[in-house]
Amino acid sequence: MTEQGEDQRSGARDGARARTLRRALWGAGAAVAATAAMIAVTLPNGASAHGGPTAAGAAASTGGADGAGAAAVTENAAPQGPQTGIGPLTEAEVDRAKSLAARHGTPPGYRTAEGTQGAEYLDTDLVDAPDATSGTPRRVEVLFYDYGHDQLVKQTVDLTTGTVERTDTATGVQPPPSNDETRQAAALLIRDPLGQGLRADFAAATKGQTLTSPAQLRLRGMSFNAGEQSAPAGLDQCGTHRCVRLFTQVRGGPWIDTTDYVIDLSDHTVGRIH
Amino acid sequence: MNILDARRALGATSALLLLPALFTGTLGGTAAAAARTAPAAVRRTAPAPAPCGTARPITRTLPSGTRWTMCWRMSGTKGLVLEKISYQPKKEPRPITVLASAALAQVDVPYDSGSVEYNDLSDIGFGNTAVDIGPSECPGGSIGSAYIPQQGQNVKALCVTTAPHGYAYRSDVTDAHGNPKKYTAQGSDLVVFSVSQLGWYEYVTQWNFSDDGTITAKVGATGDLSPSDYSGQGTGWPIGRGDHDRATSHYHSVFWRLDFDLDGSSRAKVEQYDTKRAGQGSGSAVLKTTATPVTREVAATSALRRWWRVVSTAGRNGDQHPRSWELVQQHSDHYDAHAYTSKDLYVTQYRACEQLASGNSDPACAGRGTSVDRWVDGETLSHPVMWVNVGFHHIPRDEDQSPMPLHWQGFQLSPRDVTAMSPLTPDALSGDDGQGH
Repeated sequence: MTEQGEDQRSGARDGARARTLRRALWGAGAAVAATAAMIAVTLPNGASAHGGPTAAGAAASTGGADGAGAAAVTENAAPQGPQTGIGPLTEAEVDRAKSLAARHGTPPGYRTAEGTQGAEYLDTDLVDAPDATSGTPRRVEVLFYDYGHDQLVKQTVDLTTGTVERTDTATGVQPPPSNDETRQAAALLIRDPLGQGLRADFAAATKGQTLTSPAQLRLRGMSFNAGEQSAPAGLDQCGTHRCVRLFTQVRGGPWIDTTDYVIDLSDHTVGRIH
Repeated sequence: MNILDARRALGATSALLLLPALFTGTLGGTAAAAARTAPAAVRRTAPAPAPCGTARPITRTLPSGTRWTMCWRMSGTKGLVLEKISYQPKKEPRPITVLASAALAQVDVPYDSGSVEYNDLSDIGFGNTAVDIGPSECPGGSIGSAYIPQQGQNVKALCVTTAPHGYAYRSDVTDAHGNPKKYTAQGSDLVVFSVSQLGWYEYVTQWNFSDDGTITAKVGATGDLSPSDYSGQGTGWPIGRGDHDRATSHYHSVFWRLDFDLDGSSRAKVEQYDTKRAGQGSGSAVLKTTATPVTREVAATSALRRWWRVVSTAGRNGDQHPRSWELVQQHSDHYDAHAYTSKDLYVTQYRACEQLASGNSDPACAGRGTSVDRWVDGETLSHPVMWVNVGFHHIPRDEDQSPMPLHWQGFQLSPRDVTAMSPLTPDALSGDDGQGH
């Protein structure tokens, strides 16, 4: 049996428990929905363990390592060193782009999510270049969010010349939150009165531990923009403001459904969709 | 006998002319038995490297001799991005470029209860959520790693492998000497995919590149149904014993963005074809097919016997027909509660800042609106970009637990006159081009 096969068997057992738990907790959740309780559920999650950072630079043949029946597989390491043309960004390129953008500076009124001078880094991506050839210098887009003006800032950086070519800004658009923003959103929810259900479900899932930090959770942040989808009146600032929803899971434990809660990182408030 | 051969060829040709929808759903059925001969012995030059630069290209020569080559990378929002895609049938002297870029452009998931909606690309991101692919998930293949900025780590995000797809063709014929002869072959695909994990849902973003030239784009959803979205009668389906837990029905509207580079040129032409009844013949109804040039940006809806193709302005096949790629749509239920998901196809003039079909947040596009329906304003198409929308309305069932079996949605691009005959035509028949005409 392969490792994966064993995971699947384990997952099936977890799944049987999950269904029982889900119904039990859903019944409870429905009964107290009006009091904002959140519902904890366990899902078979054998395949979701993300593991630690992948060893960069390791190129190894792992044929046969996964057990009988797995045909030989080769693994190619992520690109490293100086790059031209089109292909995955390297860690060094991302770091250099962020550094060049930061050195370019931000106007004094720009603010990070924590309120310090500067802008909140979000993401880096290669510029779409249909005419790129193998020798084309690498140009990347670095995204920041300026909480001082609630605006998205894109700096286009030429990695060869080391220059910021142009800066574009826009309001009302909200790309996915960074991991830092996601953690800040979770911290706000944990402290907020609307986080009572989350705290209670965390305690129930961990035999009474107290939830005090986002580090106790496995989180995935989602931006929430009332300009792109339906939202209740209380959340109509989201979109103009930077707002985040959360997929939340106890580390090594069950999901806790927090998708109904919207954390406004621009004004540090928490709201509900229902 | 030759008479038999001729009748068979005519039958095949007639079917192609009258029923282009026959292409729907087939991976290997493009046995275009028309067109003047391909040169029997084209010297195949050494493959030109894909212009990926320093990065390792994806390139495979399939058992039948067809070679596909492309570059790849991971975008935080779009996930797997394939670029510089080229196709080289075994008798072509050089690669035929097809697409400058092909990637997802949105996965919108609203729940029927009206309670929640997820914009999976623009709010979360398929690259941000890309996960490691294990050896057992990519049998016989090659796993590629990429640095994902938001994760701050390398992820084994890409699987490249090959897979058989059954019959390429089969034909019992009688040769010129009256001897029976059977021609048959099995087809195969280059398969490229990545996996993204968004909460309890997991998505497979997959592209199959077949040896007959067909490109299949599809997204599969697996993982688990939402553990918290339960609903009432009419908006959910009971999962598990009794009628307590009605898992909420929901939509997956998936958009792809296709930026063509036909024969090395972005200046492709787009045509819409419609076939309509035009009377009754003595043996059957008469159907007439007409072409409508699409010269300006368009938001289009599917219809019976309607299809589109993108036509090269830079390359012709051996029969001097312009090369083209046909959009082959499969079943789709478009989501009629948003304007942008209400159409099946958009064609817009290229803009670098227009990358996502909704929630497009690039500040360089500020003021243009954030969804593809807003960009269609009659602009002349000199560099067309195609946006394909495929909607799947998922009403859960008991079998969707647990893990949920993959449900797929997608479309195909099928070569139309890219080569003078099928690239899989056996050498013994390559001189038959045009027989029966």
